[in-house]
Amino acid sequence: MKLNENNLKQCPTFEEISTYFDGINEVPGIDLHIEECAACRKTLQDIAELDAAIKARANIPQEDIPQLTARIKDGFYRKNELEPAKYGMPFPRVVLHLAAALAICSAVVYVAVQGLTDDMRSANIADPAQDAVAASQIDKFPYYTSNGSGVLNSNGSENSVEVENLIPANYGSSEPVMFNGGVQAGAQKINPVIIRPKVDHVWVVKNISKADDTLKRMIKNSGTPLQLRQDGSVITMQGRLNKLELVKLVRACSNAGFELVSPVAPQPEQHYFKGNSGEPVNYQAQFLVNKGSR
Amino acid sequence: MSLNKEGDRELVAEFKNGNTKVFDELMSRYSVRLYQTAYGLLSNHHDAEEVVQDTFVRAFRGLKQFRGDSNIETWLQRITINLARNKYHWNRRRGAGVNISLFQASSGLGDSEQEEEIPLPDKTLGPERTVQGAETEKKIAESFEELPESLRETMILRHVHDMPYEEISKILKCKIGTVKSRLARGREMLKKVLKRSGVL
Repeated sequence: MKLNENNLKQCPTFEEISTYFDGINEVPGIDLHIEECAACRKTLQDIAELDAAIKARANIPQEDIPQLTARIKDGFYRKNELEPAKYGMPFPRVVLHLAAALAICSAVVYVAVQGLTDDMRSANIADPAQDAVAASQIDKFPYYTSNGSGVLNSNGSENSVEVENLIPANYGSSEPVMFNGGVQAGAQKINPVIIRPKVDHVWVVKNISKADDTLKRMIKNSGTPLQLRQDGSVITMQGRLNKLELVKLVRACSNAGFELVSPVAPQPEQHYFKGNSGEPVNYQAQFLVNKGSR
Repeated sequence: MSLNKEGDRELVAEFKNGNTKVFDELMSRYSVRLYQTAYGLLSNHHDAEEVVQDTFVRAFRGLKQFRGDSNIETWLQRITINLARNKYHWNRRRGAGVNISLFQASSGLGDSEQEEEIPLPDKTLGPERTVQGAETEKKIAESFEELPESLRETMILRHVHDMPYEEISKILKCKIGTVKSRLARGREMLKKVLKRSGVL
């Protein structure tokens, strides 16, 4: 510890106290000084509070760890198989160029074909091409039930679906929402997702009464004409809104911690959609607590 | 601190011998710690999960070339930090840090119901989280944003993982003295910001 000309002990620097906090005692007598000096003790305490605040922020509740790990693994397995080129596989350059050209041509053809069938879709006529696209979308979102079939178990009731042992796929996209009404074909790397005129979703929540409060606030704040009805441990939401409102609603529900277990667009991580943002959609959703556990 | 250095070495050896299924065990061991690093830097749960997934994909492809000069967690943390840096700069350029919320705060007049917007994806807390807890976390996240990148990274490794200076210096490829000074500067800056906002 430095002594000034009057032989009084000077306070250590902030860095010296900071290092001392980490258990490294580089300054002889610093511990005694801190015991005697209120200002240095306060500095040490501030660092301790900072440490506690940062740790608390990073803390993950024990009960959430299995799901977190499962989501990370699911995402790894999906990416590892589907996107080898992105992660440095040594493809010859000409192969990459041909693949890119083929992808662009496919996107142009797809958009052209979808444009021809728009009228059919808006009239809600069954369209095999649309079903095929929807089916392929389902394949990309692995939702696991207890029987591992990827199909939701249903109890036959018109007002409820029992779901057990579900592990939802990873979500998360902060990409802006885009509708291809205003985007040139070929500019996108992925195909636009179709939102049907009628969408049915099932969401799993942790607590029904809290979810009810959250949903009521969502509806009130958004001004969308959605209605809620609670029937025991299931909340049903119904109403008509436009596609953009629906996408935002789905993301907000996901942000609130609700788990979407239906393989039907829009999904929280999707961001590029077919059609125009103002097109109407009849939306029905059920919010319930997962009865099983993994 | 790495949970089981000896066990990790055995896993890596098995992987290099062709048993790639052991990689699943590696993910079980380090998903949470890497996620905590990524979340600490990005303040976004979904981005953090994506970064950790990408970390494991890169690690899977590069593990056969891993020389073992450092322990496996040091290597994984370094990949995570690099990817988090990229994601952070990407988000800033694209403006994706803006919350796509149906419910932007309509006033700042203290009405908690009006001010509360559905936060960035937060599966670990869900609807039960308190408004105050969310506010504190938000202020810490915002304060962290104000720190230079190098200070943020150093502080996350020290405060979240209690890593010794030496290990931090290996992950960040800097001298131990640099780790010390970054911690001191980061703590001083963060302390001032959090005191100003009333968190500390």
